[in-house]
Amino acid sequence: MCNFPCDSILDEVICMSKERKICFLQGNEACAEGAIAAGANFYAGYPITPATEIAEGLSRLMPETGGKFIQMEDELSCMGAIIGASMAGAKSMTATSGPGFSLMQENIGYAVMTETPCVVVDVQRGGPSTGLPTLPAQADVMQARWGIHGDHAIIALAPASVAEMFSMTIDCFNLAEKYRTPVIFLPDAIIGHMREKVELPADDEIQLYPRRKPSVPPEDFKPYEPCEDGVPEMANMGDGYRFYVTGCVHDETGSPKMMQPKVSDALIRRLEGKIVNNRDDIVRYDEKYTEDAEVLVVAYGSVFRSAQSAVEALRKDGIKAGYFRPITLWPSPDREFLRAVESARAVVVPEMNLGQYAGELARILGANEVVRKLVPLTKVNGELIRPDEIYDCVKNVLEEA
Amino acid sequence: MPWGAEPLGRNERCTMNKIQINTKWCKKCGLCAKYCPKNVFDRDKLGGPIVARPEDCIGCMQCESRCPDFAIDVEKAQ
Amino acid sequence: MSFDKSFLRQSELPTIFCPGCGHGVVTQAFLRTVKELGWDKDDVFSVSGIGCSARIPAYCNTSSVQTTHGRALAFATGMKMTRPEKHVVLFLGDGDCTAIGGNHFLHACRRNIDMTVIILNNYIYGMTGGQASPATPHGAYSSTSPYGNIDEQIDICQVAVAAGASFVARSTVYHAQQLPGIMKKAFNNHGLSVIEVLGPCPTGFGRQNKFRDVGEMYDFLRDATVSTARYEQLSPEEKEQKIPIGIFRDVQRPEYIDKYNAMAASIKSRKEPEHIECKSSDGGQIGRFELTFAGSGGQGLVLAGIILSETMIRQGKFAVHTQSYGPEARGGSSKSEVVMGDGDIDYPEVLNADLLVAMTQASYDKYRKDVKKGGLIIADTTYVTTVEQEDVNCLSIPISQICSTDLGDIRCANIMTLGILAGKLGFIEYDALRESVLARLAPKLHDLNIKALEAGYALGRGTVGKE
Repeated sequence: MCNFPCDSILDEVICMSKERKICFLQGNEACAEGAIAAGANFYAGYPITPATEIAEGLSRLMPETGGKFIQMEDELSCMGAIIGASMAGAKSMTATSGPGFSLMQENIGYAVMTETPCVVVDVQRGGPSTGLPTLPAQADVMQARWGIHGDHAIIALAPASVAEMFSMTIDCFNLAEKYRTPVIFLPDAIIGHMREKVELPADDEIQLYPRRKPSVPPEDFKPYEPCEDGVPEMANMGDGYRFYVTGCVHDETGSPKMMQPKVSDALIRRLEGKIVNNRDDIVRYDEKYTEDAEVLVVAYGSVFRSAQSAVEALRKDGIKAGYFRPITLWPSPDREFLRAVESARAVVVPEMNLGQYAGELARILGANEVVRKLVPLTKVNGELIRPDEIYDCVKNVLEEA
Repeated sequence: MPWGAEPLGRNERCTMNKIQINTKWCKKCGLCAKYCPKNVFDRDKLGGPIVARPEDCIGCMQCESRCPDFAIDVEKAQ
Repeated sequence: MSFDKSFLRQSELPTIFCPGCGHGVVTQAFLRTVKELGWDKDDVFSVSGIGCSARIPAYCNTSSVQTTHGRALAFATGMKMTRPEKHVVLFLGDGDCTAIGGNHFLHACRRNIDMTVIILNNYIYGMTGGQASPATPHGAYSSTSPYGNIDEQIDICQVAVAAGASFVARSTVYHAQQLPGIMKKAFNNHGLSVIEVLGPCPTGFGRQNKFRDVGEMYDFLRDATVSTARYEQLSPEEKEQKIPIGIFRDVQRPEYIDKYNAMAASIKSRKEPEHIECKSSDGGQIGRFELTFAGSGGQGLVLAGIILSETMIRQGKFAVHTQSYGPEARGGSSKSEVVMGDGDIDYPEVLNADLLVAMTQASYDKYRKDVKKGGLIIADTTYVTTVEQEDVNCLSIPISQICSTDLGDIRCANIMTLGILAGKLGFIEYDALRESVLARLAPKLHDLNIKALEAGYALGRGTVGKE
């Protein structure tokens, strides 16, 4: 579940049952249930394959649990609506796929600049453009990092199971509140549409990070004055704290200050620092057999499952393979990866794209002057990478070495 | 409040409307002078308003309502 | 009455507006109205987009939010739905509202959500230096229409009326003293209110269109505007020269959030996800068993895969279901796959099927090669007429036909198929399967489908396999 420290459980009604439940859910269904479990009470959505089931699920779940659902006229307005709702005190989410994710970028940037917590789900499909509407890809990884114009850091998580579609949605909300940032959730069409057994927790097992409300009265409050961790307290609109919010560069009072270089520099660096400086708290990952791996397989999302299978098969056949799974794609688990790759001679990176995360791993290795053979295993035909493809690649890499 | 209020009208027995101009906010657009039905204002060299004939002010409030900079305050006589 | 400056955010003053710009007039009228209505400053949300008009909320001592270009209505919709008791007022430029924001303007009016949109129409994109907007008159000069605007001017009020806004009015900043009265009516309207306020942009529009000073632009606003009543009496040629101001629409229409609340109030209870009672596994290992259902859309193969998966979960096993299909809702191709196992399943798709159920000839032809040696194909011979023998066992049954003739409904073929599977494969427990069928089908379908299940089960057990 959410394994980070948090002081209190939100004392709002959490719409889960009193006991655990075993369910057979579709990934998208589990994401919708996860949002409700996280206390989400506002959803704005627009239909797009393969994410539509999330909107459909929440169109029912929101009115059933006292929340609000609206189908907006396009994805740009979905993103705008969830930011407005969050500013006014809601916990809000939207879900889309590649083309809609592209449309949302400007407003996601606005959420970054105004430090508005919200969750954006991108159930990735083949692109670019209309691409492969019903088939999976992992091709929005770099877009999640850099889709917004301007300098910024972002948090993005990649689930690999239906159970994680549930639990990580909650995690996304918690990270969003803790760091006052939009959080991108990056399943792919396989995870979104597959159905698996999932154990839903009882309501008292769910830990939520409550919104950081102001600790001073309105006359002393500065909306963008950071706490020690770089994150300002958040006053909801209409709760007695009146200030100006703008997407322009602004000072700690919210006043636009476009002609003051010091203010600009301080703000941009603080916004990035919020995430970069707290990366130890934010980074999530998994690994196995890395202590003595000769070849490290780095995989995320549904491809991780193939990698898992391949690595176990390789080990069974006496080959020293190991895997490293980034769960937070951004910020990248760079230190953890560098440690995991120590014993390995080569890194195999299977991805359903043309090597987007392989590029990031190459950057990490290069920046730290660590030399390893990096082998991207790319697939862009709408099909999931199979375990045997990873198995064969690892064997070839070892033979060539 | 950062008001640089300069009451330029004589106001001995409060029988006259008091017109105050905030010169810090005034941008000298001249609209107050242009549309005053009683020609209360003159304009200085830079185009800013001078309350020249406050005794003629009928308190129609057009100057205050039309001022785009909240820079005119008309206090009606008691 | 004198203007109460406590409603201003004075730390932001003086305004960035050019001398004579009408935006400050609108701001003053707005804040006067807020005070007159007795609204608490904390209960007012001032929202804007991008442009000169977008700076207005900065000067208002309310909860003030400047958003992105054209999207203010979207943000405001989220704010209002979250805090419906608050007063939401938007300040949009003509370009922001009707060009980039046109779609959101259309839908906000259509929804009739309770907020007021004040459009500051100065016929131009002012902040960026005077480019043509949809409100720029035909023939006017701007920095992007240096030879005269070839485009036609949008009539914002007509668009708002057509789109469904319940209160629509137009005025000008020359008519400064009438603005609070109109705003009061707009704010009191429980629905989407639109007030278009014409104003001068001396720097962006005026200079390029031969207005010598802002005073001349105000004279224009005074002289070119007539009341709506007077306007109706004009000849068509006269109408070309005049702009009607006043109230174009003031009606009661059901408001969006009221309707949402009524809908939510009618909901009796939450539909929770179904709990599946799992027995602990009996210790028998099934290993990794891969099964493909293939056929055409509408044959219920996805449901069959789901029911089979839930059956395995009831038995204390694990199952993953995936599916693929073409764009057609009916017909076309449909594939539903189940991977079953004793523990967590890693690779979720079929690599080498142990069993293929083929419900059409096309799917038989396409997928038979993917079945492993010694595996099984169950072919519905109603549709699969050509069956070729290789290293694979084949069970040929006219499933759909049996359903049609014996049970009177071809659509239970998928359930009959599940019965056949249970009969044929020892590890699928009939009772668990029956429970799953009942759980996933509506009660009115139970009778028919249990019959199909039983018939299939008998077929599966009794039939040795037509080789």
